[in-house]
Amino acid sequence: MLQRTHALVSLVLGVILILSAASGLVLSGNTLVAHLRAAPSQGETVAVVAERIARQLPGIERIERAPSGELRVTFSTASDSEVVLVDPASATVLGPYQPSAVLAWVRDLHRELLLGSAGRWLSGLSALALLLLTLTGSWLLARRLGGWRQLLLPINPGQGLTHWHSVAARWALPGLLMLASSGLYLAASSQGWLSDGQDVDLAYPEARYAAPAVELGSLSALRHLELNDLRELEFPSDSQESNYYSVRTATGEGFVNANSGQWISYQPHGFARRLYESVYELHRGAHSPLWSLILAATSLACLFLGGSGLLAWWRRQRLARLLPNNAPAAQADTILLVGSQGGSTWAYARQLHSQLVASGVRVHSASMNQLQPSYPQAKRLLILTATYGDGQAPDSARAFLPRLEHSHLNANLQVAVLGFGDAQFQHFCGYAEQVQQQLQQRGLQALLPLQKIDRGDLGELNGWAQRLGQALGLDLHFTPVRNVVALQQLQLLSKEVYGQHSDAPAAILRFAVRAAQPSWWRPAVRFAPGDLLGISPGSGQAPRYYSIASSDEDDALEICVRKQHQGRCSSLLHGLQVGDCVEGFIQPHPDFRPSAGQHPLILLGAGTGLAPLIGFVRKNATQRPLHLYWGGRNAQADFLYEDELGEYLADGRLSHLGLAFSQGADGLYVQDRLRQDASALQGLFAQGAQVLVCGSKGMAAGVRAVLDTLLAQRGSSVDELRLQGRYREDVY
Amino acid sequence: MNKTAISLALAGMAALPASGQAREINLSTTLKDYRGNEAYLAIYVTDAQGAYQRTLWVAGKKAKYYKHLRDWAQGGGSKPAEFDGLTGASVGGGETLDVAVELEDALIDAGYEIRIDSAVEDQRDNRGEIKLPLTQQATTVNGGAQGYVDRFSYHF
Repeated sequence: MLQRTHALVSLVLGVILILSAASGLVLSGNTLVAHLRAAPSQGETVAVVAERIARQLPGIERIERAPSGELRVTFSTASDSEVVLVDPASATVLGPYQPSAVLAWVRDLHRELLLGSAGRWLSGLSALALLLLTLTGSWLLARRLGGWRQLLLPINPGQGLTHWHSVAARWALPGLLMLASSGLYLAASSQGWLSDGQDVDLAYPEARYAAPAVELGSLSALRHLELNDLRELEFPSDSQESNYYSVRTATGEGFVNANSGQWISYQPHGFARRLYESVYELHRGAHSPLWSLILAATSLACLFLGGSGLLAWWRRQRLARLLPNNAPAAQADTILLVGSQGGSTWAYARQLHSQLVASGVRVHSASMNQLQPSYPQAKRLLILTATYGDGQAPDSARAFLPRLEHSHLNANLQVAVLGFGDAQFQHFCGYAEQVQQQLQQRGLQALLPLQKIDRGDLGELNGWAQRLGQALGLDLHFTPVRNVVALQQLQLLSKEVYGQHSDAPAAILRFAVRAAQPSWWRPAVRFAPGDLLGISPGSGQAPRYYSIASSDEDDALEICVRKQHQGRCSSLLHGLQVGDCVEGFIQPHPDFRPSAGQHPLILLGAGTGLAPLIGFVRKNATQRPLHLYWGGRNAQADFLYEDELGEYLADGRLSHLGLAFSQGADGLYVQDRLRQDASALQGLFAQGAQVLVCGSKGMAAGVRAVLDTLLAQRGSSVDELRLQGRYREDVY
Repeated sequence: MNKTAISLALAGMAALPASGQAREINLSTTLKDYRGNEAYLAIYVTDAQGAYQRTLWVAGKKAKYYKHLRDWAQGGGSKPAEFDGLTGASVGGGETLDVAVELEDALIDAGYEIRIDSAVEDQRDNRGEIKLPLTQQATTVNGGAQGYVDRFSYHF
């Protein structure tokens, strides 16, 4: 209800409010500049300063003092008539007083939306909107943070729009509250709904004071008035007749006899006037540079809150369309949290959501980042999450574990975690495992054990759905989710086959890439060596991934494929003729890349695992020390990229090439070559070398064993290097 | 800016004193095409020494700004009883204010003056920027260099 009010007010009055905030930012910035420009006060009296100025400017009519300290002097002689800015200390004329037309326009925008005085009530509406938003917003914020007292404590670090909305709102709350209520008051007084005490009729002196004026500096009333307290000093209009000064100060106004120097009368401001002046100063930041800076920051925060709030609302709307009948977090008995990177995890979550809703379960679905401190009605918590990179949280789950630490989940909440991943990668469902472990540590009971799903395997998915269904007494099932990745049309440009007559020939395939469904907004296809090309052998089947050897700057997308016995995808690719087309998608693999810098690189590969490695060699324009070890079967039939590697050795892109052929006379594997070069490798590790391994699981395990032995002599290990980001694997 | 006529006829009828003869005076005030907010104007009658006699018209509705119409206010014109029923909207640059009000015969051709005080937000306040003898003759005068009034005329 509160959230709905908060959103509704923002939507209806958001535009006016954003205009008010933007113009307010300009105005407070301008006030700040005026503060910084005005000369500091010398503590002089009005009599001294006014006399000094009157000597310089014949025909002086009036001195007005802006709260910033600026003196505006009106004078009028037979030849000239002007308003000028005057330095109080020296009485020099600084220049004409010309308020900027742009600023006047901005001020009118702020006060009355350029609609004349009729627009003032609209500005008042904007202040009212701000007040409502500040009140409902602080309520929502307190609830989100877990209590009013939390408003005063640091907010846990986090990410994302909602987090920064909360942080900005927390800091800006007092300022916003002040601006909203003072703005509302000012609008009401400009509409005449509240008296500002200024319509009080001034008691102008009745009698004529015809005695001639004496020296201004000797008038005792003005000699006892500090310049800082002055607002306006009006000179006698006719020195022969109405011979008195009109004086307005910060606290009242009155008249001073130009002959005797005594007050003729003085009216202190009434309560309404004093209130008005204080509120006006507060709203404008007119009296302190620090305060006007705070006001500028608050306006900026208001703009940010408006923008981020509307964006968050729009996202929620989009989600609500996808998640019909989503129960509020506080009322749901089943909580479904989703950690999704590309969107397919959400697709499964929506299937689950709609089936649960259809069965009458009160389910609340949200991204994992939106974990609430508590779910008062919840009986079970279902978590569906993908894993990003090396076992890290996907984007929509980054804030989950930190928020979990500060949550107050019911102890009797039952949990089921479903992990999505690809068993080809290391740390298969690594993040789902972490989540499961953390939930267990918090003492939550498992409704079902952790289930890992390999590449959307429908059998595994439905097995889990069935077990969940049994636990809930429902019938649940999943249907395959069409991959939401952007499909690319790949046309074969060339094919180079090695070991044509062996049982497992390898082929280097080069494709031209274009989007399968071209559209004007789709960005150009981006890929770099080490990224993966996913190809599905048939509809509904899990894709196979191939490491890419080229980048989008090259003319073609290049992969290296060995034909597997009964492998549908590899057979399909081997069967392609030049000119044939196949659909695939790019899966970025940012972890499997050479790190920045000039440390040596050790590239280890076997068979078609050479593809990404040769890509790295090709891009080694800076001639960083690069050591490639590669294992093949047969030096005659199987030596992929033989000529190209020779070129790179010659032009310095490759420093060292270690080869191992398992079917030769020596029968060597990569591991054997590593053992032979142990001392050279030790030297490279000493220089901070990074290792990139691409090949089969068996080869990768063998390499790890050799390098672990080697690193042990240095008091290190493969795991330590891995933690430093210096050991990366792409294993199939 | 094009010249917009603001006509408010006979608004002052009710405010007239019952005693003495009176007739209708038509006042026409055209402002210069200055840049800035709308102007507040006080059109009033003084004696030859400049002492305030009575208000003819006040353009601008917020009494809190009346103190900027300085001579008129100091003379006593800003007391509510003085301008009751004799106020209208403020006047923008380039616009013309046309009003017709009742005036006692006793003030005509008797050494009295019509004066105009003017003020614009953030710009200078002018005391008596127009000073014109009040005669039976229709009269037109051009405004001075420093004021907001371009041309002022009256006729009966």
